[in-house]
Parts: sequence; structure tokens; C-alpha cells
Amino acid sequence: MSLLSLEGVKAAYDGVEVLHGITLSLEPSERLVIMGPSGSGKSTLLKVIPRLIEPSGGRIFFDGLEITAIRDERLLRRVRSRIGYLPQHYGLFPHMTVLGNVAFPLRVVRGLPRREAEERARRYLALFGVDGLADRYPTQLSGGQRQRVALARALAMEPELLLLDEPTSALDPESRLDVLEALFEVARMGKSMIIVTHELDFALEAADRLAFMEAGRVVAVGGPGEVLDSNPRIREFAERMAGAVGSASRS
Amino acid sequence: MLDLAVEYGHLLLVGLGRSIAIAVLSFLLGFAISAALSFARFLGPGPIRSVAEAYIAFFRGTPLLVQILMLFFGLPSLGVRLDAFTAATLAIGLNSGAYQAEIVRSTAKSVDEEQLLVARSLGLSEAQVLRHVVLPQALRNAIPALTNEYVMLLKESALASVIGVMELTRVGEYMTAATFRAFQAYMLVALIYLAVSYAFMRSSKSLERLLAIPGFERWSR
Ligand SMILES: Nc1ncnc2c1ncn2[C@@H]1O[C@H](COP(=O)(O)OP(=O)(O)OP(=O)(O)O)[C@@H](O)[C@H]1O
Ligand SMILES: [Mg+2]
Repeated sequence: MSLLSLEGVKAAYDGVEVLHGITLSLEPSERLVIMGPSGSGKSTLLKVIPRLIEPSGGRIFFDGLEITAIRDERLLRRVRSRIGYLPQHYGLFPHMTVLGNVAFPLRVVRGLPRREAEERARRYLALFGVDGLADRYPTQLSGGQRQRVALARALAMEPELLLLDEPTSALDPESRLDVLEALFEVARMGKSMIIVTHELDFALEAADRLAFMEAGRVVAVGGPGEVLDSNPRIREFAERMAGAVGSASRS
Repeated sequence: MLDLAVEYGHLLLVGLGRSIAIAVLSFLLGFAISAALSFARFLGPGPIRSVAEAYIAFFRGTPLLVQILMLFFGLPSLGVRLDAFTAATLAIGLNSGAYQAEIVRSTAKSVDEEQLLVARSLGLSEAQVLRHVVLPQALRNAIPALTNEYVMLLKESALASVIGVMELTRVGEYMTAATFRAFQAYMLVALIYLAVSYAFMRSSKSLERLLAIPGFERWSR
């Protein structure tokens, strides 16, 4: 059974439809990369899955449960807590330390006692090499460090599915490589994930499938190599994007 | 003027004490009311939200003096009799609640959207988002505006003199009546207000520094 499946999912902002019926599914442990031009609806698609934005049509199933049919707030929250979401700009809480950021949802949502929450938080921070920053505040970190803390926070919840929105695109070249390294680490862990990214290396080496979006639709989906080989236009787009982000850091 | 200060020193101190008491109590009352209004506004179902908005519109849209007079002279006709000090403090506090709620709303808007999305995605309820994410940041950002509100209250407490509360301004009236030196009497009173406001604003600067989020000045906007 699929871990996640979307059937004709639509979304609109103020009555203007921007997702025109997305149908996709994800198997357990599968990694799906989403690419597409700016404004094609990639971020909206990620937000609609845990209903951070209400879909305007279609159905979403997660682990056999129809998310779109949930009426009970508590149940929806429980489902959300099983899906990790990372926005493009980290979304760290500036009034909490790094350790606080990671431990706080473990205590409040998972109900872990403080010690246990902090222990687990440190373990995940260490996984991404940022445990030394536990007592700092987010504003005192570099972009790459912030993104790794955000990744640790999402993973510490031990979600069954991870949604990542362009985790490397806002970073300077050096931080970008650090975060890319972290992403490969997450891939090695066998986490199911949907990741919006233009990192070609990641798509080719770590992803099982690639979906290409355009104007609110998925226009191609399949094995990353396959999609690129059979669509010269998409290949050209992907290489141009990869060139734009990667040129400064190829070493 | 110095001789006035010496001669009426005791009375001035008592008056000042009462002015400060009105300001402090009404500020605290206003703070509690603003918290209730904020929760109603952000979390309440439609009708409760409307009640909160109506409350705020009423207290911000009518003169404070009228509100004080209503409580002091109007409530007895409903069978509730309040002494002048209580009526004034209550009216100023109810009024301040509306203004403080507006302050919290405007600083709550400064919390960026992505934090809210992440908080919800982690499985927090709307009440938890408000309590753990929005309010701690909104209240810190509100310190300068709340300080200002407190100083406003100290000055507005002068309106209590109208219904006969023996606070600082009323002491000024008393000195004027006794000595016919109106300008000096009121100037003395004004300087006392100024000294207290100034001292308070200085100490709130330290509070702000104490509660500042490390590195927050450098937070990229
Ligand atoms: N909050 C919003 N209000 C109104 N329209 C929005 C909002 N967010 C996105 N849109 C619109 O929805 C469409 C899809 O936006 P979305 O952010 O999902 O695209 P994207 O593929 O993630 O783009 P990018 O690569 O630039 O991040 C765009 O046309 C955008 O203008
Ligand atoms: Mg986007």
C-alpha cells in the first residue's frame, strides 16, 4: 500500500486555482524529487499535503487514512505530527535556543519529559553536526547551520514522511554543500520524502523518482534519469537550474 | 514653588501614591483583559470574535472621561455603587484593555508566516501556537508600546480628579484653592508626573534589554 497518495488534488488562493488536479503516490521509503519553474505550484503542493493550506478539491490519503476527510482537529494534528515539513527559510523559532527549537515539539506534541526530549534533540543535532550549537539562538547561526537545525527538528519527531521545500536554494555555496551532505544522510536513513529541489546530483543519485511540474500540473513523472532522457526540454531546464546553483561550488 | 512642595509635601506624596496605584492597577487589569481579548480574537468562534471587536471599538471610540462618568454616576442606577477610586481604576483599566489588545495584535503580526506553518506542521494546536510561538515574541516586541501605554495611564489617571479622587491632580486643585498660586501649583504637579514617567521609561529600557532575544537585532528581515 502506498504511504501517500494524491488523487486530483486542487488548491486555490482567493479563488484562483493554482493546482489543477495533482495525482501522485509515494511508496514507503521512496524519495521523490519535484522540479519545475517558479510559480508552478511546488510549494503549494507540499503545504496542501498536511493541510497547512486546505485543498479546494481532490483527495489525499496517508497511511491508509484519508487526510482530506478528517474533521476532528486532534486527529488532524496527530497526522500532521507524523509528517515533517521544512519551509524554504527554516521557520526556526527565534525566541528559543537551538536545543529548545528541537526539544520543544517533542515535549509539547509528543509529551516527552524534558530530559528525554533534550537527549533526543541532542542526538539529532549531532547527526547533522550542529550539536555544538545547542545553546545558541537561531539568529546567531549561518544559513546552513539554521537549515541543519531545522532538519534535525523535523527528524527528531521521527516522522514517517518528510516534505522539504528547496532546502538548499537560499544558501551560500559552502552552506549549500553542508546541507546537501545532510540530505544525503537523510536519504541513507531510508526516510520517505518529497523534496522540491533543483539539485541535479541529489535527484540522480538519491531519488527514486522525479516529478516535473508546470503551471499547477505534473507534466512528467518517472525515474529521474528516464524523465530527463525522454524530455530534452526538462533536461535543459534542470541543467540550467543546476548550473545556476552549482557553478560556484563544484570542486 | 519649593515652599509649596515643602508645605504640601505630605499631601503631594499621598496624591502621587494614589495616581500610581490607579495607573498600576488599571494597567494590570488592562493586561488581563487584553490577554482575554487576544485569545478571543485569535482563537474564538465567530460570535466571540465579534464581541471582542465590539468591545475594542467601544472603548477606543468613546472618550475615557465619559466611560469614567458612566461607571461612577451610571452604575448606581443599576444598583451597583462604586467608590470614586474603584470606578476610575475600573474605567481606565477597561479602556486600557482595548488599547493593549491592539498593541498585541500589531506585534503579533510581526511573527513570520513560516514559523506558524512549521508550528502547525509539527502538530501544535492553534492555542499552543499562540501560547508558545506567537505571544512570547509578540509580548517582547510589545514592551516599548506597553511602556508607553503605562505612561499614558499615569497621565490619564488625572481624570479621576473629576469624580473627586484625591490623586495628584486633585492635590494641585487643592493647593490652588488654598494659595491662589495656580501656575506654580500645577507646574509642581506636572514636574512630579514628568519625573515618575521618566524614571519608568528608563527602567523599561533595562527590562527590554533583559528580555531581548540574543542576536535579534541582527535578525535578517
Ligand atoms: N499566499 C499566496 N497568495 C496568493 N497566491 C499565491 C500565494 N502563494 C503562492 N501563490 C501563487 O500560487 C502559484 C504557485 O505558487 P508556489 O509558491 O506554489 O510556486 P513554486 O513552484 O513553489 O514557486 P517557487 O519556485 O518560486 O518557489 C503562483 O502563481 C503564486 O503566485
Ligand atoms: Mg516555492
